[in-house]
Amino acid sequence: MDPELGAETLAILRKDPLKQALTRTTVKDFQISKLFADNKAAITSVDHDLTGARCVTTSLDESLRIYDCVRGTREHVSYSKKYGCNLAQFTTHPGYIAYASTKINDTIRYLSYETNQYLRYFVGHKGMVTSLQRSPIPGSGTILSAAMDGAVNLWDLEQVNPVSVVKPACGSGGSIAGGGIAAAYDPSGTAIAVAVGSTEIQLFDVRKMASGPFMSSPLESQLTADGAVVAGVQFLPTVGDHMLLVMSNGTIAVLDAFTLKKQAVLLSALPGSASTATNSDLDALGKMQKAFLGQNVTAAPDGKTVIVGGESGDIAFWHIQEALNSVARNANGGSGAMPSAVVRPDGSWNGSHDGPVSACAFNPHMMECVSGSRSLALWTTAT
Amino acid sequence: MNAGGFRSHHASRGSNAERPVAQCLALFVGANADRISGGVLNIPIETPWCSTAQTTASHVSEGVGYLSTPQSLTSPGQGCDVVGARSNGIYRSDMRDYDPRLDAQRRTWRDGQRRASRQPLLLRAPLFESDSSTVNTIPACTVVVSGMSPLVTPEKLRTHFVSFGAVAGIRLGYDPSTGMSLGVARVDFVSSADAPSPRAAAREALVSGNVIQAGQSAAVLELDISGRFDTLIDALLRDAEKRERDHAAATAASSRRGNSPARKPERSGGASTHDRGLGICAVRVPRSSISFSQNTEADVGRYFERFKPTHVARDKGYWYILFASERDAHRCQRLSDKQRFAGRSIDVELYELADRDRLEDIKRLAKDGDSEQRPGTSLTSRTLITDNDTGGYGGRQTAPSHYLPGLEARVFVSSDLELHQLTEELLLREISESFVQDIQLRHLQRLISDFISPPSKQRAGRDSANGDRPTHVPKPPIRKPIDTAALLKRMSKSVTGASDSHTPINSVLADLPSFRRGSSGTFGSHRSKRAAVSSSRAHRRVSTSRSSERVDNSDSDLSDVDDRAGSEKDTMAWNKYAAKRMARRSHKGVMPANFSETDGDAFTDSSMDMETESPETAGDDDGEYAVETVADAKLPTFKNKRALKRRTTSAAQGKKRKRAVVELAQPETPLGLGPGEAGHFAEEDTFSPPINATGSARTEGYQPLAPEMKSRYLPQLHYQLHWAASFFGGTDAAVASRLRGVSGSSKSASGGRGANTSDAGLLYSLLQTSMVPSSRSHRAVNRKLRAEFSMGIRNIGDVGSSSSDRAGNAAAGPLNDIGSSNGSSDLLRFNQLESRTKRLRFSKSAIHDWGLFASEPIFQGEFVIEYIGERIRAELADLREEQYEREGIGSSYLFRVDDDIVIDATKCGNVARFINHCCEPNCIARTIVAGGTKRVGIYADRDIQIGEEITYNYKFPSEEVKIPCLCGAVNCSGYLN
Repeated sequence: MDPELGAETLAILRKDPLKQALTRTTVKDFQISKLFADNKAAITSVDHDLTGARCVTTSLDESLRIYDCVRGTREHVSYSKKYGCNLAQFTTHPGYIAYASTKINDTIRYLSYETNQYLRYFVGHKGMVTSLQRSPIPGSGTILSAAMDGAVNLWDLEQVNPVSVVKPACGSGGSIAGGGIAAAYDPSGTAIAVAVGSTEIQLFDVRKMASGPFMSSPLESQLTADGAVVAGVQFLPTVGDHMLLVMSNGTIAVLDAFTLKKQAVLLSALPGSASTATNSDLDALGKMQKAFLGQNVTAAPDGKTVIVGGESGDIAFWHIQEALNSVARNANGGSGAMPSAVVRPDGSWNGSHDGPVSACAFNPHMMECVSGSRSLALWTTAT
Repeated sequence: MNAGGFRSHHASRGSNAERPVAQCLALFVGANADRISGGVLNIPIETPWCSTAQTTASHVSEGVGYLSTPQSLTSPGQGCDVVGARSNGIYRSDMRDYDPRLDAQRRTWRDGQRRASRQPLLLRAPLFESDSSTVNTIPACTVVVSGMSPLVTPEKLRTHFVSFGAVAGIRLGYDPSTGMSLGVARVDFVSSADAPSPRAAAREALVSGNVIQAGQSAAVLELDISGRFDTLIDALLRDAEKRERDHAAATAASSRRGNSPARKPERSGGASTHDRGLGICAVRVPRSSISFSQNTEADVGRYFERFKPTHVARDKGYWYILFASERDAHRCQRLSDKQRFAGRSIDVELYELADRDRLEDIKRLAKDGDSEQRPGTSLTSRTLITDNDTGGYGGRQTAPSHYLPGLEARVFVSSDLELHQLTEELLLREISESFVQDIQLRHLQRLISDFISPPSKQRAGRDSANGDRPTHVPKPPIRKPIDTAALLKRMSKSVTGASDSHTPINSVLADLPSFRRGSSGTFGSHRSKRAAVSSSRAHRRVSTSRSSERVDNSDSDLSDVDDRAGSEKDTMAWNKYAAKRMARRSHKGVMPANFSETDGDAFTDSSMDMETESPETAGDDDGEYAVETVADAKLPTFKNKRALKRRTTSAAQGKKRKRAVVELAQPETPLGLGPGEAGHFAEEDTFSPPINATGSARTEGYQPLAPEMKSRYLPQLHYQLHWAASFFGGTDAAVASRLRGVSGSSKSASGGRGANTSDAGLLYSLLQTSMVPSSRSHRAVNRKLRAEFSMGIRNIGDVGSSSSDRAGNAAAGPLNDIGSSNGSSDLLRFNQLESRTKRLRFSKSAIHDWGLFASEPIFQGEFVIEYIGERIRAELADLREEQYEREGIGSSYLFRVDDDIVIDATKCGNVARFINHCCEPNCIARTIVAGGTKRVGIYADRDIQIGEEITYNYKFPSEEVKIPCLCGAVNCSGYLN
């Protein structure tokens, strides 16, 4: 009945109740299976570990919580009251988490959450860390961080000092402070995309960061209208043909990863800027608005669907291929002015949060998605 | 040999301003200076040892980092050349088309990913548990069962599936016209308190439950995806209809038509056909159902025999089973189709024989088939050792001289009786094999030792025999196999002969070593009384009887073992046997023990039983252990023989009673002895100290003693070496009782048992580590050791408290050996990482001076060794570095752990200091936290073979003064820093 499931897939699925296929139809009907009201403030980031068995969330209430994704239970809490926490990432070493401090200094702290001991502090940034990502190459113990001091650092987890520090220059007069900075790995782990100063996107080769970007391209001015700055950058997983650029006003642009051309714009609800309703969460987010880090945007692990948590608490999704097709069609049929094409979401999931969704992540190995506002929700298929 | 990673700060600070050489920078020297005004400058900084505070401070402002070195880079600004066909993306001119994602390797990876992404991605389903945070109910999971027999009722299904999880509903598919079940059912699993995850329940059901208790039905279980249940039902209904229609058509047709059957192969349950002429007297089964290689016609015939086939044959693709009448054929087809044969369901089709010729063909095939060789089955079990087996060591596998064909291939049997018989045969076979093995291990060893160095009248005659080095497997005389064979014959007779006659079994059992414990006490005393007296007689008897009565000797050896009271030959046999044992003391293991415990139920080995000291003798034997043994480590040379002779004469003189040697059965010690052990083996034969014929020990030459031999007369060495072995020999019950004895007298209350167990266990493990040669057992022992230590650390206090009693003394003895007065502090200092190190050796290295090499294969990711040295602060490390340079120590052994601590292995450390640097290393260094402190561990980055040099990347910070790298790797960067 599901047209995408071929005979072999069906055969596999029939024999193994523990597998589920991710297709267009199945990605449509997710519903909330579990809701955790553990946090006292908004959740700012969610990350899954290498096997997808656990996820860690950081929140404005300075806690890091680890959940077991297979059983859907809360596993562990660590507190980082003195330094705050943000952008926690699991690393290749199981049991260790790297996260960025938000108070006092901007070191990246490397914590073993089970023993609650810090193995290392990665000191180096002088500004707020806006991106932290582990290398997608399995087994490589490197992490990437970008901070508002304009530096993009590559750290080897075993070494205290960064492997490379790069300060990408913003083109044509932009400045980091005004424009933000974000960096992300390509799924192959060989290239890093850095969005600097809301004016440019640059691609670096991981092995040769020192040589500068091998490719760069300016951002379209439309994206940076009304002072929106770059909030986050992400590649679509698995293949990495496209990347998502998240601006601080909530617009999401889909760029081709090889030409850095904008292909489509997925507009979602703008957090904090347009809505009049105020609640404490929004205020908190608004405080972080300069640092709205685009954590509410995620992609399904097959790279075909983009899932965005919206300001109203809904989770909307787009099928990328259809979006691009529709944009192309519009472009061909219309006057050719592509940038004006804003693609509507293909749907939204059944259920919503009580506040704006500030973090969202799809588990790379399991059929579930985690989203957080002030409460954490685990979404799974309804069938 | 430089250690990794640490270079003093000031050196690196100085090098801050310089850039590493490697990149393609020269192009931009100066040429683009005019573009700097465009405000685009890249400042790559690669100084791993510098803190970034310094680097950032040296730059003027963000965005316009400006270096004073000639190697500054610029990146093209907007006005730079646009190259390539890609618009809007600006490549640097020197890096044209240089997208690392597009190089060949990445491209193939990317293509692979694209291909994979065409199929829907299969993700794991979460198995959520219902708890307070559940919002929506967990969806149910449905399993479809098909292919069941129509007799299965929903109740049966329910009882079967309820064992996996909570079942909500079961629906069986029914044929509306006949009302019969179609053999298809749907089972819904839901979430409940006991079974929170319906998917897990479904998975268990799928994995385990293929047999629904309606007997031999091969039900197919699967998930109900895409409406499988409905489709199956529809399909079955349609088939049923079709069958009806065909049947109607066929009967109509056959009544009309004559003798010309159309020859069409029919599906199972397909249209019945014209049955003029020969009719359908045959069924056939495709080869896929019943494999040709594993089954023979006989098997197939047996399977179908209740239908009374006349012939069974096979050709290329099918098995043909002919019957006498159509009715039989039909019946067979109906009842056998989709049944299970050898674990799989088979398709049985009616087969129409077109004409008589075909029938004859098949009959001929059947005959030919029967005369073929049986296909070999997969049975390779060991069989009874046959007569032409010379050597008779346990563990040898010979070609099966007989086997039960098809036994393993068949999962079912057609009748219970047959199953019974087959099982019985199998069991008896296995029992007999294990008996034989045991006998070989215990007795043949001894017999061989007898052969090698017997006490001597026939020494001369034995010269040639003894001249054989017992290093290679000593060939006992041909009589050996006879012994075995005789025994086996007796055994097999008793075993296979039915259970009605007890006597043969008894006699056989009497021949075997007894496994009784404890009863040997009496014999011990018995023997000890007579031993001295009769030993001389026994010896002489033994020696005379040696040559002629080998067979009898061995027989009586075997027969004297049973300690059932009352058999009259026991006494005499005992004497003989005991004397022989004492005299020869065949060597089975390395560890004789001074068994000082009172209860004799320590060991299960019969030989040990024999020789366990009785309680009263235990006491006074403590001191006088010295007497025998001190034998030579050499092979039985002439000297040995003299020693032997001396020993026997001394024994005959009624010297001190020899201490019993309690031997541990070590079943893994094969009868085939290694060269070293054979040496021991020979030694053990001479247990008395060599009385020098010349009268002076100095003229007799020096023969070094193995510690095991020394331990016989050095009491404390004996304790140390053998205490643990004796303490831990035997069964678990024995050990436990001994431990109870130890701990009972210690004052520790609650943790006592545990403490002493762990303590004793850890001692045992410690002793073992020193003795165990193989890498695998070494690892296992170390694991145990680590576990013991982690337990022992918790129970430290109890160790000391047991010092009062004797056993405690024994415990304290070996502990003292380890080195601390009260033992507890050592536990604390035990370095767990030490036990994980691999076998390594250091030797001259091609890279530099000395290097560390692997002596065992190491797998990727495994811990290799810890870099151990003196832990000093960073400032002190700076000072020391300069000091060492001044002293002339050219190599650096300082390893930085973190900002504050450096490990200095210059003057003290372990062999990890010999690990060289390589630009393509096979190991990496990692900081780990162990035992509460940060340490440096070297882990393997890839699989390492034996003899490979261990290397890792030192990761020195870059400096002006370069150290050349001699690693010889393909991608060597040329410098260490």
